[in-house]
Amino acid sequence: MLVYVAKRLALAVPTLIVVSFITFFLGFLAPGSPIDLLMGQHGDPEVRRRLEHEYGLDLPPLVQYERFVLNALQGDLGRSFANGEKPVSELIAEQFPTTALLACLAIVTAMIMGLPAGVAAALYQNRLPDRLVMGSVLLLVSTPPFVLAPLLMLLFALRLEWLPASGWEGPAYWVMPVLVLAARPAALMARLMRSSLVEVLRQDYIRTAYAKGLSTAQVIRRHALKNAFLPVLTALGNSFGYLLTGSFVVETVFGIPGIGYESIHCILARDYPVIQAVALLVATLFISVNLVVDVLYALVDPRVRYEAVK
Amino acid sequence: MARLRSNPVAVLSMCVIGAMVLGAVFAPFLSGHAYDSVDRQHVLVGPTRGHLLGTDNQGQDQWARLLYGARVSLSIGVIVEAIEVLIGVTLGLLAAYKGRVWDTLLMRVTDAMFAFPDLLFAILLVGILRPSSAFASFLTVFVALALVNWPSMARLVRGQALALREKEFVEAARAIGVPDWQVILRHLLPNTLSPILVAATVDIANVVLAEATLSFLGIGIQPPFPSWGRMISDALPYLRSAPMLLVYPSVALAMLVLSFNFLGDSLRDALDPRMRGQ
Repeated sequence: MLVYVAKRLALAVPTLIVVSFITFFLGFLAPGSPIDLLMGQHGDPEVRRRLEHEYGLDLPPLVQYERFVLNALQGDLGRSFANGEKPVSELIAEQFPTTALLACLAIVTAMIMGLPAGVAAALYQNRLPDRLVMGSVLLLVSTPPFVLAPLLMLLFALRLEWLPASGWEGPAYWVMPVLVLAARPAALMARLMRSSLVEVLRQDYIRTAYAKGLSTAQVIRRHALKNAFLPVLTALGNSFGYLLTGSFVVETVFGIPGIGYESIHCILARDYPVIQAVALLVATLFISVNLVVDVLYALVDPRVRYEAVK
Repeated sequence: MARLRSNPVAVLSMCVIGAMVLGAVFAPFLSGHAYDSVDRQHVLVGPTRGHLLGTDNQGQDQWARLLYGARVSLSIGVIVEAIEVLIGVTLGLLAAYKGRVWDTLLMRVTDAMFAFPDLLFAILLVGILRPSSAFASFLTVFVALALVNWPSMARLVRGQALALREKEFVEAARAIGVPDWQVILRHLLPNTLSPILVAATVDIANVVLAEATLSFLGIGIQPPFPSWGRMISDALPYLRSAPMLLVYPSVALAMLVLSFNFLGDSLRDALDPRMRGQ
């Protein structure tokens, strides 16, 4: 088991390095120097040189990259160009909890909605419940959050006036954003749960379980679900990635003060340090979550860890 | 194909896609207005004789923008997908057949690309490049989406080709001295076509959605070019007074994406030998 975790960790490190490399050098692709933004209308070359020196922009690119990584490891992500030169880490510390709460609520909601729907679809394969679930799955997968959000807003906030239209001030404000964000992962989980359970139900050990006289409920609960859940676990890691970028859209629509909303502002304002930091943070989180998922997978499924260590 | 034609959902999806393609191709003849023409006398009006679906806050004709928006969505969907298939198939086949260095390189590069969740890389690229002209924004979106999407196609092709490489008919071809490129083109490629076709169809839906998302966030297609995603974000402030501004592009987008998803699912069933005769 330890060997497996170590191997998996060793694979994550080069990925992280490549990610940090890409994130950093994307900044070099940017048209125009960020100093132009800071200088505004002034054209004084002396001021420019001083600013470039202050931000370390006069160093060779690889040295800049080294500084970027070393600083990032110590939690220093540079200063924002736009927000009054505020440290980026402070900006993120202020806004990240909101996004994290939103994403966590969404993933729990997605599981609560998606998994039972998938199980029901598998048990009633090719019958009405299955068709209803699979129909809704395709509909939800095809409806992007920025379509779903305004429609819900129109219905629940403007027409029925049950929920507040935007903002982030309490549980009532959470309902719509969480539902919108959870829709796609819920649909994907339902689809995966269904196909996985259908596959498991064909196995010999399920027939054996029936043969020894267990009821359907017992077979499903004790034998089928545990095995069918494994592929869903992997998908959970990927859903998390969707939640992080999906929050860009959801936070923008509902005016939620989180990382996504802030990022879009920074992209429009060309505030590169913040964009780089957010990209690095999100990618690191995503890699870590997938790492945890893989380790969990190995914990519950011995086949995986033997396979990997071989 | 016969199996596909007997599936009503697939037929309906193809009709929707076909109608949208026609609408996009013949947009100048069907729209009655240019996509960027502004009618200051009629701002935020409902459907009238001059404006089939009414106008937005700038007096732009919604029907015209929907039609030209279909051009944008479809061309991005199809062209990005074509680039993606070209890169993905080439690299996937090379990695599987040549193995070793090619394979390791492909796997590491795709690993790094997969580390950026979902659209993040495209958002980053488009956000940082921030094209200055509307036409440049078009190109940037193409490049960004193609860059983000090819790794999954390459992995798919690699997986398929790896399994095929061990089959007897490939070994036989190699044994009688068929050159590598012919084995790849004549034997490996044709046998991987159906999964590629299914994945590409579903992927067009994702590319169309991705473009709409970027445009919705204000970093995709820039005005005056119309994009459904942009139309949706432009409609948000008028949600209460003119909700239909939101409904038209939303319905168009959802229908197009749904059709490609349905078509992909139907293709999968139709091409799956295990489903034959059922």
